[in-house]
Parts: sequence; structure tokens; C-alpha cells
Amino acid sequence: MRKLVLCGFLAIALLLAIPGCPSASSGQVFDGGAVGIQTFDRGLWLKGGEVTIVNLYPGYVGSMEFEVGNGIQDNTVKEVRISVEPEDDKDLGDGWVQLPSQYYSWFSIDNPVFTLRPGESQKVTVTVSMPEDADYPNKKARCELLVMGWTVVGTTTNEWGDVVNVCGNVPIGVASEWYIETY
Amino acid sequence: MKKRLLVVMLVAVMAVSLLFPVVALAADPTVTITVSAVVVSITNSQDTWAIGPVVVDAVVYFSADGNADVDYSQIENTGNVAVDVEIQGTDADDETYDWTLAAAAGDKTYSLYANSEGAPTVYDVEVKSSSYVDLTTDLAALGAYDWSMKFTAPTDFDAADDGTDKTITVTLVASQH
Repeated sequence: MRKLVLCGFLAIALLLAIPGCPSASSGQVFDGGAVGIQTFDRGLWLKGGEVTIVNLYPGYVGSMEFEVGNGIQDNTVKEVRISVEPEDDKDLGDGWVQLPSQYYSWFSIDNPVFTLRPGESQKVTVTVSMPEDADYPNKKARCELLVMGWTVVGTTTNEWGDVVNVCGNVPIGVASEWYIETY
Repeated sequence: MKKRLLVVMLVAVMAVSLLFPVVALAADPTVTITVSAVVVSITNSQDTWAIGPVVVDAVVYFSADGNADVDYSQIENTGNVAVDVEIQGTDADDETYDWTLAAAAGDKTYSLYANSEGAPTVYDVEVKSSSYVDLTTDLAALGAYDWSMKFTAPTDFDAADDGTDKTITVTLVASQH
């Protein structure tokens, strides 16, 4: 009975997912008008849902461009965080393997954390740079570019006195699936 | 004098060429990078779940009051391609006394299940912290998927947990089908 009473006072506030809310510096907050694609006026969107890279060889340097947007009709601000992650398909396809995580450093994202207001979009450039000494020939490997969007539901003051965003604890993400063939 | 100098230089160049024969370097292959014009886009109508205070063995549904066993949230495919939507959870974290996410509730262990559309009483999708699992697949462009979740509190936990706030994050990710 005593335990039950004690437990009755336990509060788990799942509402405030502060640790998971990426914080964008002020320089990464875009306060211009809506730009980019306007067709997708709802939700978190990513242009570039699939990527193929063929003949990637040591020493190669190139880039590819994506666009990420926040639908205007949802009327929410989203904190966006972008990263290269393992492909989450259980069936990778015949002959395809997961790209070993130590090779994620071949890809650098120019703008991995930013904020999107309703109707805003942002171009994102990913630079592909396979090191000269890379030893990964004749492979068919997969990974994905994961764009997470955390809805800002309020603000709070952290322990250092800074006002930071508070995000919801059910974020959504959109992924670009990558197919990489090395030479 | 100039002619003699030119001849000497020419001979020197030829000698060097003989010492270091030209090696034909293989040309680098052509790298082809193709970024599709596919737009992957989703919405989810409920972006926050405040479970609130719980006791041991408590069951809380993802709904307005925590009690209603209904499809509370809706995912919409707002992109131009069919998508698969996957779900992943986390341990309930307060940085000191975590509750582990597992298939069944237990001592300092909680469970989380999502339900299939059209069957609000059947929570058949085990949400895991270790990997994404399918919530719905081949959701057509402009299609919608209604869903909910069921949280079951640990069967026991420490008094030290009393009054502590814990954070669970449930992530939905869409990718091209």
C-alpha cells in the first residue's frame, strides 16, 4: 500500500523532450520569406528521396544537393537535424550491404542543423569525399540521409539562462535512400 | 655556342627519359551521382504525448485523456511517392533512473506498442529502442494512416523514481517504398 502511495506521486513528464530538441544557433535561423518548392504545402519534406552513386573511387570529391522544407499549412516551426545513418530497410537487396559506419565520414553536410518556419525550405549540400587511401573497392553499399523534424512547442530557459526551444516528443523524419557502388 | 647548348640539353632530356620511362596512368572512372526528384513528405497530427503521472502497471493510451483506446493520430503522405513509415522508441530517461523499453513491462521496464489501422484494440507493433520497425508500408501518395500507442508502466520501480520526470521520444521516419 505504501509503495502504491509513493508510486502515485511519480510523474513522468514525457511532454518536454528538451534533450532531444536540436538547438540551432541564431545564425542558422532563416527569417526570410518562403522559398523553394511550394507544391508540398504540408508536412516535413525532402526533395531527393533516392540517390545512386556509381564508380566512387579513392580520391574522388563531388557534391550533391537536396532541399528540405516545412509545409506552410501545418503552421509549426521545426528544428531540423540531418545526418547519415544506416539504411533501415531489412531487405537491402541482392548483393547490397550496409555501408560500414566508419565510412560515413566520406560525407559532410554543409548545414546539418537549422530551423524552418512554416513554408520555408532550405537547400542542403552533401559533399562526397572518398579518401585517397580508402580500401573499399567493388562494393555495393547502402546508407541513408535522415532528416529529422522536431516540432517546436514552446520555449524554456536552460541552466545557463539561455532561452531554448522545447520540442514535441513524437518527431517525424524523412529519409533519402542511398545506393553506393565503389570502383 | 647556342646550338651546342641546345644539343646538350636535348641529350640530357633524352637520358632522363630513358632513366624514367613514362608510365601510362589509368584514367579515373567517371563517377555518376543521381539525386532523384522524388519528394518524401509526411505529417503526423499529434507531435507530443504527455503521459502524465503513472503508478505501477498503469496503462496509458496515446489519446487526449490517456484513457481512450482510439486511433488518435494520423500520418499523411504529402509527398509524390508511396512511402514506408517506421517507428522507434527510447528508454524512459531522466539521466539517473532510466526505465528500459522492452517487449513486456517488468521491474523498471516499460513496454510500448503501436496499433494497426482499423484495429484500435490490437496493439501489435512492438516499438523498440534498438531498431526501427514497420508501422505501415506502401502508404500511397496523399494516403493517410490512423494510429495510436499503448504505454504500460513498469511492474515495479524504485521509490527514488518518485516525482522524477522522464522523457520518451517516439520517432517516425518515412522513406520511399
